[in-house]
Amino acid sequence: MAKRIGILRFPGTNCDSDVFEFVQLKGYEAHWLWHKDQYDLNGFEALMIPGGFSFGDYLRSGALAARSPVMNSVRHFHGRGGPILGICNGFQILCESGLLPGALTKNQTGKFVHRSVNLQVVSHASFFGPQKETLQLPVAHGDGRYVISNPEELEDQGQVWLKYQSEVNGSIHQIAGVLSPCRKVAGLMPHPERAIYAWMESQDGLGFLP
Amino acid sequence: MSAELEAKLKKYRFSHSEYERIKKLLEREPQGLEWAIFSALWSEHCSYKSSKKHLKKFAKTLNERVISPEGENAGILDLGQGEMVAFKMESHNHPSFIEPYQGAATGVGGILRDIFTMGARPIALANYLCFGENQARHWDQVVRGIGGYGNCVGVPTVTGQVNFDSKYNSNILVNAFALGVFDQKNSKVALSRLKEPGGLILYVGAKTGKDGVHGAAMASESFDENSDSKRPNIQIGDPFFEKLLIEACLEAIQTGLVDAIQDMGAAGLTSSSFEMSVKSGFGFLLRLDQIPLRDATMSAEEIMLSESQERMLLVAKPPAVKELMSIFERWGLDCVVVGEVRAEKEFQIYEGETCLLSLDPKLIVDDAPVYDRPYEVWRDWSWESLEQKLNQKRFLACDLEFSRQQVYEQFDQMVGLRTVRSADQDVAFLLLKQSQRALAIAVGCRPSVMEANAGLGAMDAFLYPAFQMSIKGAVPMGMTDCLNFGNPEKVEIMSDFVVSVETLAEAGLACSCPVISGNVSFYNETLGKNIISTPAVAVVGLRSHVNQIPWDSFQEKGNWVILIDCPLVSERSAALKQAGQYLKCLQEFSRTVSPVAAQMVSLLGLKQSLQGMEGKGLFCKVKDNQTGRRFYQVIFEIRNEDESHCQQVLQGLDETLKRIDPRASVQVLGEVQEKNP
Repeated sequence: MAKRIGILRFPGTNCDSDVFEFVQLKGYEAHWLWHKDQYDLNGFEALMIPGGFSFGDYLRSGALAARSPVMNSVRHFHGRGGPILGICNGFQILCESGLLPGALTKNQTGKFVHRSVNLQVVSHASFFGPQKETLQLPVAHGDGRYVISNPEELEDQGQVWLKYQSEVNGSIHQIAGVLSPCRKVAGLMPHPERAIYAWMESQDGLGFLP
Repeated sequence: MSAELEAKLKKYRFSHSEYERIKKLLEREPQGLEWAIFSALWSEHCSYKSSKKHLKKFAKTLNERVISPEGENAGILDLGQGEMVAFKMESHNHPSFIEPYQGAATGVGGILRDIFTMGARPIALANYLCFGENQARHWDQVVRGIGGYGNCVGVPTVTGQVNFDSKYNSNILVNAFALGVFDQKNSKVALSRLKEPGGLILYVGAKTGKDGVHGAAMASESFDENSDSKRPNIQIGDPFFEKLLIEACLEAIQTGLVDAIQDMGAAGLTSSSFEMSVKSGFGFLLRLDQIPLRDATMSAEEIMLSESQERMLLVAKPPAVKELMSIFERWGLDCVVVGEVRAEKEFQIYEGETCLLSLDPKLIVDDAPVYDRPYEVWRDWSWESLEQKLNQKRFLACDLEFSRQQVYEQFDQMVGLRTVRSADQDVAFLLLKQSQRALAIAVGCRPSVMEANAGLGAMDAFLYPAFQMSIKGAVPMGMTDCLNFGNPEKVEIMSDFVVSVETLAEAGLACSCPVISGNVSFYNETLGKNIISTPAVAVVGLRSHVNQIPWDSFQEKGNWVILIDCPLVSERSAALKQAGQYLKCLQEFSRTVSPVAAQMVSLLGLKQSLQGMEGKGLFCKVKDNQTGRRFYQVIFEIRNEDESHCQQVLQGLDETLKRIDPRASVQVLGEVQEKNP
């Protein structure tokens, strides 16, 4: 039987079907997890939180989603050592819920940015790839500027996962993705699910799921 | 006539003859709410009173691929292999000039609702924008507005066009296009027409507020120096609500329990409910006290005319209501019963026990005035004089230096995993997931061509995007238009309008590319100055697969750069017949040869167009005296490993083209070269 991956859905999530497609493409069984519900996630291989504008980015990006009932199940899953990946708004939600350090704020330009970017893989997550050292992935976000008071410490502890190779949104140390201390929780602003088919500019996203 | 009556006519924007018409229809004076309802539904925006007569000419373009329930929100095109698409383009010029961010944002919201109302999932947005000179604030805010809305609802913005001309200084154009797809598994086409009475009317979505009251009437007027005072007429959009509405409505439609559905657009509750009632032939009973309000002090007139965004009207049989309500509740949306559909023809509006209005809705909708405004027949079809006029045209610096990237980088172009070629290329290509074919979208209408010759300009509005996609191997399958014009009461404007409609209709017929939907925006006039007549067109095409779609720029050193000249004769029907043949020929060439890059020669001429194809350190140089004609020339970059075979293919193409027009030609311009580092 195929291994299961749970995909969270909040009102306003809009990359949900894309992540679903990606998960299926990699041979997993994809399951929706609705924001209002709580789940027993025993037997799930991993969880993914897709991008979008959960709750319309009201208050702050990810702030309301981080306080939804489904996040209790996510915390449980994390407590049992389950891997969790947040992409774009999913990354923002993980930061807001305290599962990842730091915060994501408005891009330095004040504008939304959609672009293909080059990334350097600085350290490795425990479940989610990629295996390569450099990657090309698209970004599409308005609030992607990563901030943290002690970026050096984060670097020293190997929690900086990915870095932009050029200036994109004003992130401190050009950080594009970070890991939890246990490396089971990972978040990134670029979209791996948008780099999975031969007709796309890159297929570097495929490596994010083993 | 009393001063009081004069003031009332002014307030509700009726001419004296329209007032007389109302009295005759009602056989009495209009009273109470009737004033506001007649005003909204008889506005140019809702009634198409100046354009209706001419828009009928588009009917001849319809072919067997068009599934277009008459009078529905958007046309539907059957692409075969179980795939259908619905698409439409609409203007939001007036609101966007007054309040650029909200105007542009709600323009996107409105066009999306037209698409998912029909049961199609929106998969692409595009835009057509015209600004004046020194309008940095306007275009910055418009772009932010489009992005702010489109990015949030999760529909990619895949292509568009931005023009600058001083003729748009005090009346910018903001046209939004949306396309939705019906997939085989869950394709239910939803209509706004009911088959039987007895259903309950459900109000779904955002609460009704005072925003946008009299918006339709405002959009049917010219601007004066007091345009700023119209700011309260602008609607405010909430894309988060729209996203919920998309998901909830598509889910509701798929249950098969929705008998009819209509979004609340211009003139809000009034136009949606009256149109549904008239189309179905059944009377509606609306209870205003049931309408969810943002502001309890709103009057009946304000409730009926509010253009608050993100609202829909549904009709369902009583036993189905519970299940539908639970779907909307799951998505956190208001869903309340606000009335019923009855067999009697009267349309009635109640507030508590008080009947505020009761009349036959056909009186308002079917008997709305239709004007045959004076115009002159277009006679100038000379390409030569058009070329000469364009040679003298001075383009604005901002138009020449404008980089598309600074606009399109602000839009999410990829959400949905369908975007094969996006806004950095002339033509967007989207993957049709079921059949793995590619859908092409290109937007057209070049204001400088329109300004020089409205007849040829309208032809170009279709032909240029049609050429652009054909050279990349896509067959144009259908188009939608957004006809932006000045004051139709002026003969020269009406003449431009009529020739535009007739030319687009002939083009659609000649090239088997039906006009399946559209929108008219008149009165783009400020203090007596009209914009350039701008019939924006979006063409949708089909390509057999997504592989090897030609790029806009040079790709490989050593490849041949060829120029194909496709001249047209100076007569409309004959020119369109030639154009149809050229398009077929170029599609065939693109399919068999698989060019690496393909571009049309732009208005700036061959040299500049070749420069525009530079990139990756590659270029192709031509002698300076190579100018040639602009209507129409194609540049291809093709591989030439087998030179003699290549020559043979080109010679064959040359012969085919010369049968279309003896002046047509194919020539090798040179090779793609590498710049010295």
